[in-house]
Amino acid sequence: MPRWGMVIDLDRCIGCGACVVACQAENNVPINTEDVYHQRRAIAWIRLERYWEGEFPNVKARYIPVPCMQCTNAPCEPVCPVYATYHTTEGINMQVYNRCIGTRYCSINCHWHVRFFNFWEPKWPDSLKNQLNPDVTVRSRGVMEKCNFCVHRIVKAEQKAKVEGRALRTDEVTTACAQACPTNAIVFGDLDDPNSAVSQLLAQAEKEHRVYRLLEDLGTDPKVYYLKKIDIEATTAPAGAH
Amino acid sequence: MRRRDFLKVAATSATGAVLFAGCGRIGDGVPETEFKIAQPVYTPNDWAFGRDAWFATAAPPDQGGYGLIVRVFEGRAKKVDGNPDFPGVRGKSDARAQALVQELYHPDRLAGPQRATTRGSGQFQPIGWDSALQQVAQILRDAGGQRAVLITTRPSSLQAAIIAAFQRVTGIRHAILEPDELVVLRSAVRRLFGVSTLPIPDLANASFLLNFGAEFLHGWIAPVQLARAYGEFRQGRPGQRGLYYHVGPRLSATAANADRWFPIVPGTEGLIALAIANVLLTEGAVPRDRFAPYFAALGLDEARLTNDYSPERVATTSGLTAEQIRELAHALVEHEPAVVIAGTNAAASTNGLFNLVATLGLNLLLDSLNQPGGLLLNPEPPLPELRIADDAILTQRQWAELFQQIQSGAISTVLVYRANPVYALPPATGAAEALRAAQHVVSFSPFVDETTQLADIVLPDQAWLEQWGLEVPDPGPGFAAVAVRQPVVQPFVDAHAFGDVLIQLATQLGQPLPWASQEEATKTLALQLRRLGRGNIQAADDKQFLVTLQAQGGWWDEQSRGSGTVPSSPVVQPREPSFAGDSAQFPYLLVPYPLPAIGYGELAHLPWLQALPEPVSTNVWQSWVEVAQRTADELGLSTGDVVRLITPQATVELPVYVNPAGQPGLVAIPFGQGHTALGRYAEGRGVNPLTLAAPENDGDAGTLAWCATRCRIEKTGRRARLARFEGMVPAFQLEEFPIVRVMAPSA
Amino acid sequence: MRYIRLILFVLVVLVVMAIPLALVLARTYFLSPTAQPVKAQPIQFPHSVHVQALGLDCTYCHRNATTSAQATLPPLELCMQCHKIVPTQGRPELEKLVAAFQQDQPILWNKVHQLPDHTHFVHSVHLSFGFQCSTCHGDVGAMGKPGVKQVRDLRMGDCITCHQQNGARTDCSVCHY
Repeated sequence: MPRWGMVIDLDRCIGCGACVVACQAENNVPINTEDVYHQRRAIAWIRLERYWEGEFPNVKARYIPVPCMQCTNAPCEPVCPVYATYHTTEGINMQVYNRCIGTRYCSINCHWHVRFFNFWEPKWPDSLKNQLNPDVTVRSRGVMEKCNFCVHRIVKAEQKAKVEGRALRTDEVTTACAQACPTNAIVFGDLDDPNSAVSQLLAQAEKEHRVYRLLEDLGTDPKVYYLKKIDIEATTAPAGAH
Repeated sequence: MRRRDFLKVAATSATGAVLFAGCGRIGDGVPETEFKIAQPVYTPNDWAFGRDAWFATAAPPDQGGYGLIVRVFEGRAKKVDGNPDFPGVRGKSDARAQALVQELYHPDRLAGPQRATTRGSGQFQPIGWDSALQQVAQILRDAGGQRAVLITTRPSSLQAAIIAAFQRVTGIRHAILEPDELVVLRSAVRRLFGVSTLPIPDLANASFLLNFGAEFLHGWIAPVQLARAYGEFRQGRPGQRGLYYHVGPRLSATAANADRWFPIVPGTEGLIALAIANVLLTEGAVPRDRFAPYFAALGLDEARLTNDYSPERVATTSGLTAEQIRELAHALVEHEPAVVIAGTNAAASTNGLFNLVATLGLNLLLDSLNQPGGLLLNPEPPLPELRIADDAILTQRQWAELFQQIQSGAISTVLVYRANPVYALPPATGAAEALRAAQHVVSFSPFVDETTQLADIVLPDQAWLEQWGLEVPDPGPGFAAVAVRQPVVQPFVDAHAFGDVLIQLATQLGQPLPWASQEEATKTLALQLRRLGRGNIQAADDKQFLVTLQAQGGWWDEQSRGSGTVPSSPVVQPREPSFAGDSAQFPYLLVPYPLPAIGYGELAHLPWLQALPEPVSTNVWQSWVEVAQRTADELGLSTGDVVRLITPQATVELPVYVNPAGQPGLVAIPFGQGHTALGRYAEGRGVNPLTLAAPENDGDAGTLAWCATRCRIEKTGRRARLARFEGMVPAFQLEEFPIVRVMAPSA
Repeated sequence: MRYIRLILFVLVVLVVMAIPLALVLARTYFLSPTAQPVKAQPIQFPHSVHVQALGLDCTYCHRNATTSAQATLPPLELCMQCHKIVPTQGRPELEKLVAAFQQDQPILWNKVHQLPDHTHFVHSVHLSFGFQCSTCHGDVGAMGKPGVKQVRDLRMGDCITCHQQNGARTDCSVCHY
């Protein structure tokens, strides 16, 4: 059974937003209109955050793409009163839309704020509906939604492998964001397969002490790994730095 | 009533649930079709039931023209991604490519040919294709070739072939509207290296990149190719990490990725380059014989360079210290191979051409031309037909002359294809007045943009995903490559490809073109590639060649590489930048900049791109004014305050974004908004900076210098809500657990 | 007599509480897919003629069942390959078919096997594991006019039971995403 994970190399990330749009296109995320931004209710399963460091002229703007961390001990899961969010056997933190009743407890309990609530019925002009991905449910008003590592792609690949009577090949399936990412900053794969791109990348980066996870001290064991950004002016020692 | 509604009610009342559950119905789709399965009469050939089909096609010419693949499910395009086989991009894409499906299914696309009810009203009524073609043919017959002009954006390589053939039979003039920075860049490359194709930096093998202002990771000449190479540049080589220094007035989305950013006065890029050359020369860091072509291009000699452009002298005008300039020069020779690129703001000053020649010329001093890790020149397109005529690309000055001719009646008929001169040129150029004065205006745009609004007849082009074509990526990957564009879906609306319309018009004028359709032209020219007898496709016959070409998405020949010649005349003399407006009255410099997603506004009609936050400010859907923290403190401004932005040209009111990385003395404003047409997602948002910029020209290139205006800002006391992504989710930035962790290079 | 009021009260409460319970049970029974009457179809298509009499395989018409999520209906042109030589005179159902083909009108069939909302069912995987069409659809080949009837419950409980019996995964994400 695979254990899906993601590695995001912050030294490669250029903040272009290809992952954000690719995710919207793949997962039928409604269009974030100006009003939605004003209400602070924009939905972005993967988002690009920018952090300032320093002051002019020694100022840095740093980018970080943030999808759902797919925590192994996810804090969002135990608070759901109807078991609409749960852990799959492949390690994905799933949202079952038809179970969700919209209590939003899960989003309150998520420290990464990667769960989004549909405050409105999603709307598209009729012609744009032709683009909607038939593999992904369009979420109605009143349900939570979140990144699920493009689980429909995983299921499809697994079904294809089953029909062909074989096991899933290494790196056979990837997420929309990883596929689009022009700098290869996002890599997706099976953490338990030593030959997968994520495992090899992690093994190499561990040696360089580049691996960290967002808010990992909370102990939720996220499955999205970040590789530290390299800064020639950084003063922290490379080894053992937090 | 669905399960979750049931649970919701059940949570409040157990008995109530039972009583209400009976009243609902399952699902809330369209009742007439929800529980039906349609049995089609025929299976269309783009229709595979229940399965994905992936078709190879090509990106639009102004996005790099590289190979794409499109996922098609039951006859509808679902998702665009990069073509994994195509050289340079290797399966990668960007936000603009992803949004191509929104162009295809845009709700405001013109569904068929239209005729204006009254010219300029923006109101159109549908007409038939036959009558539309007859009317346009009649217009062309009346005007004759000499009194008609065809204005296009950068056409695809195949469209260029069809336009050239159309020109030969009708004698019509062809004018290409490209962003000014690219016109300057092409001109600089032609003068320096003697080639008409754009070069590509070989980042994947470079150790050091010095960039003078080019937004090369966010929408410059080949964003996907360069971004992919950038990934390799940083982390693709174990133990070796490329170093990137950015020299420019703004900490732009691209500059934010640099290891070091050197803030400068806009327009002084060329002077800094000369100072760097000065250091290299006086310190003897590079062999002396390499300076000859550099001097030739700039009309300089050793004495002038050493005397007039010492780091100390340039330091006073550029905003850098002499030490910093020396540091840049040393970095260039310390890290081999090194490459220098320049563009965007650097090209938009009154000395833009000099800036680019002086900066890109540094590659000659480093001997990085056509070297691994250097600047790779691209070969000419493999077929002469696919060449885009350089002299058709007009500069701002030439546009003004052309519109003068239209207004005076020397040119009576204007055909416009996807170009939007009314929006993309400053109002002083006179595009709108000229089009109003023209006898006939025919548009081929698929959307009603500002220019199409002034047309009599609109013959909408097909979306890029619906038509045939060949695309020579410009810049290419360093060797000859052609992407093939094929329709991935049946036409969604009753539009005809621009090439087909030109072919039909030529036929109606009694002078048929060599091809019967755009499809036939694509295939004929593609087969000429086969006759070249080289490239990646081995095929026994023509049919097999075409099938392989379409399946692979392109033709490329890694052996066919570009080569340059020595710099040619005329010489570009060094110039200092000049700015319109009195510095006492207008204390700040106005720096407009293209947005990463919607560029100069040509993609403002696509909602995904409008909703994609600008990476540094995270603002969306509008225009804003970026002021530096210090300026904001002086004026007592904070993000969201509305200010009056006053230039010698115009006054607008916009909300402020206080940029911690803003350079004091500069005020930045994004391009892209300020559309009065172009559909529901573009109209009525923000301001077009071209209305603010003084119509200053680059003295050498004749292009618009949109980065050469002074301005001042006044408080209005009002506040506006700024739609932005920052603050959407609370950040957990703690000192001991930073979100973005950094470390020093290990080696 | 002393407790009669109490007994009456309890009885009334029981009856009142039983009404919703009865309604629930009745609704479950009447809404059960297998209890539904045969749906009226635009053409009374007899599977029995095509399967039993002619011996056609299911996948002759439902071509994508083994390769994709949907079994799919064939385009009318496939029907017409045979039906252009089969006489239609005096056979109103066949006349409807020919008329639809000539007028280029797709036929809208009423869906018989209606899965619950938000469910992704994939035919090809189930068939590749050796299940027959009849496992879920019953002996469609023997169903003549007026049309096909659903013979199996095909609600979530049914799916999960079968998945458990056959050792298939019962993760929500197998069907719901």
